[in-house]
Parts: sequence; structure tokens; C-alpha cells
Amino acid sequence: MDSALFPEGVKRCSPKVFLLWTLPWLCLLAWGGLSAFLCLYKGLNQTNMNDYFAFAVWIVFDLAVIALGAGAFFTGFLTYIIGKKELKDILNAAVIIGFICYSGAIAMLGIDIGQPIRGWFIFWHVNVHSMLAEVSFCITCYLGVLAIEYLPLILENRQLDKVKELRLFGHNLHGIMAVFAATGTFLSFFHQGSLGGMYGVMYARPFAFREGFYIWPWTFFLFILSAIAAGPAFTILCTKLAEKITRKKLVPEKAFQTLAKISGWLLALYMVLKITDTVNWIYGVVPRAGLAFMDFYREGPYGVWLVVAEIGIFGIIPAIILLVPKARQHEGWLITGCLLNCTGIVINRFVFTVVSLAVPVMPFDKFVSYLPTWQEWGIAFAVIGYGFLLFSLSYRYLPVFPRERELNPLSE
Amino acid sequence: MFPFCFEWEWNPDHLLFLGLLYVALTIISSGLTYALVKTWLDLPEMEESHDVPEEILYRSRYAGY
Repeated sequence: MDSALFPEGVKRCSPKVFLLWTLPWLCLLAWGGLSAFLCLYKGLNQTNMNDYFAFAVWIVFDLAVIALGAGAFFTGFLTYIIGKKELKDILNAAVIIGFICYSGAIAMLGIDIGQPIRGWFIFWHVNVHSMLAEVSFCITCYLGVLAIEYLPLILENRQLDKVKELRLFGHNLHGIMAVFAATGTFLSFFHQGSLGGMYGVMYARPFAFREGFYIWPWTFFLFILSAIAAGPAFTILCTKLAEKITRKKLVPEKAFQTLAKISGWLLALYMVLKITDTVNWIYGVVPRAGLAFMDFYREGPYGVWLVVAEIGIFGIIPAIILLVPKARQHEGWLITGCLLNCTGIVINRFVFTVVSLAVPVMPFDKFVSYLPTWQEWGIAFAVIGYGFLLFSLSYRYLPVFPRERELNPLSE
Repeated sequence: MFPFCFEWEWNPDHLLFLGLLYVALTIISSGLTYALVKTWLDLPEMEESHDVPEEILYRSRYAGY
């Protein structure tokens, strides 16, 4: 029925099977749509956010998907600027994942600010000393860059490709893609960093506060490093998942290995700096605030196990897996390494967002817990549904993987 | 925010922060304009020669792979 839209020389499932596959993701989107409607119509009283938790599950999801979506800018940077040509086989997937992550995050922020109709205030009445303003500017601009990077791929759809104006426009955009990739790298470096900087400058909260270099706390640099370590791992994970679901080889092994190796080295460097930062925090910031390390982990479910999990299980172990060639060449270990790496970054963003706010800061404060409402979960999970849906549609109708035809020859 | 807005201040913070933003926006819009104008200029040439655009190193012409 829709086979005329498929890329040339590749096989896709029947429309019926495809519709069945999209059903769960459409359900998640419907749940998210209902939740968004309630939040916009009735207000943020539909959430469990309060004066303690102005940042909650949406911000955890936002920060996590923005970090995981860093694979787009970093793969673009490696391909166009550094010249790692083998990565062109996985670049389209990275761009689509990045586009999903950033557009999903911005949509979620649109609900989070309570009155989206005033969303433009942050651009017009900007506080130039605010890390959050810098984040808003950069993620919005970078979403534009991602859309431009995605556009030539859309124009290569078999039917759109027949329109010569569009074909030529796509071709011309390809020709200057390095400029967009460089701009995207600049924007991404700053917003990934400013997301970390936002927590690091909170000197009234010793759990998050860090010293640093000039106006940037160490968390600024740690967030950049952790994002470029986890982003490529997430791209590998998504592509491997697509390979498992389609039962096809979509990307040559060399591209996976290059990305995994780079991710491993960056994660190892991040771990060294993260451990140094943690030790410096324990013996510097914490005693100066009149506290001890264990004071932060006395109450509630967020014990010292979170530190062990983030640095040990989801940091050092995946770094070792991705650094050892024999381990990363084994598919099971490669997926495990990438999965642990990505989980680590989600935990990191959770700790900085939720635990920072949950830990009491004044002697009369008490530990405050928070659990999201179904509306909050609905909007967060809608991003996952939207991601699966857009990636599935892109895979079905666009030549996302340039070597697919070569790696999976059709039997006559 | 533009320099003619009442909240604008002529200090290094505003110049640096918003200057970099406008540089990024200018690069993005110039890139798009370049691609559009080049398409417009190349179109008659392409119609005459019936040529396929030449290959570009990355991500090009997957459909005709």
C-alpha cells in the first residue's frame, strides 16, 4: 500500500504489522496528550510539584534526554569536523535521535513552565547572568540546527526525491552541513555545560554547590563530558535495538566500534574527574558548609548507595567494558556497557535534580519526598512514545541507514 | 532582546551573551539562505543539462545508493 514511499531496494514490514507496532506508542502519546491538556487547562496543581520541588520528574527527563541526545552533535562533530568517515553510516540515526530528544524535551518544558503562552518571555526579557536563560537560548537554536540536519534526509524520501527543486535544495544543504554541524557543536557545548552550571552555582545548597573556573563551576565541565560520553552510547543502543527489532544488520561494525571506543575513553576521563570532584567536594565544600558527607544521606531513600551506583556500577564498569577491545567487540558486552553508561547519566541527572532539592539545607528543614502524579508520568512517557514513533516512521520511509541495502541484499 | 529594548544595557555581559546568540542565529539563517539561493540559481542549469547533482562525501543520495 505504502511501498512506493520505501527507500529503494530495502524490505519493510506490511502496513498492518507496522500499525500494530505503533499502537503502544500511540497509546503513550494519547496518555501524554490527556495529561498535557489537564496541566494546561487546570494548571500545575495536576502535578505533585510544590515549593520544595519546583524541578521534578520532567526536569529529570529533560536533562536525561538532552544528555542522551548529545550523540547527534558529537557524532556530527566527529564526522564533519574531525573527519571520522566511518561514522557517516550511523550519523542519520544520531541526528534523528537527537531531534527526538531535543524536541521532546522542549515540548515537555512547554508544559512545565505552566503558561506556554508566555514562553517567549525568557528570550525577550532575558537575564544574561542566568544559566537557565543560556540553556533556553541554546536548546532552542540547536533544535533549529537539528531540524536543518534532519531535513535533507526527509527530502531523500523516494517520492520527494522526484521533485527536482527539493532534491537540489537537499543536495545544497548537504554541501554546507559542516557549517551547521560546527554551529550545533558550539551551541551544544554551552547548553550541556550550563545545565550543570545551573546546579553548581547554588551556593545555598551544599549538596550541589561546586567551586570552579572563572564563572563556571566544575559541574559545567562535568556535564559536558558526561553528555558526550553517554550520547554516543545511546546512539549505539538505539541502533542496536533497531537491528534487533528489524532482524537486520543496519550499520557496519566499524562504526559501532569507533563510537564505543570514543565513548569509553570519554567515560573513563569523566570518571577520573568525577571522582576527583567528589573527593574535593567531600573534603572542601561540605566541611566549609558545617556539614559532613553522611549528613546528606541520613534520611529518605537516597542513601550513599546512589554514589556507589553512579560512580562504580554505572561509571567505572561501563568505562572498562567500552575500553577493552575484546569486551566491546562482543555484542552482549557492548550493549551492556552502553546500557550501564546511559543509566549512569540518568542517575546523575536525577541526583542533581531531585536529591539536591530533597536534602534539607536549614537546621529547621526536614527531608521532603516527592512522587510524580500520573499526569507527570504521562507527559514524560509520551516523549518515549513520540521517540519510538518518529524513529519507526523515519526508518520505514527514509534512507536512514545508507548501508542497509548492501548489508541486507534482497534475494530475487 | 534587541538593543532598542528598554531592558538592554550597554555592558559586556549583554554584548557577549546576546552577541554570541545573534552570531549563531546569523550563521544558521545565512546557511539556509545560501542553500535556497543556490537552489534557485542552479535550477535552470539542472533543467538544461538534466544532470544529477555531483556526489557529496557524506549522507548524500541514499535513495540512489
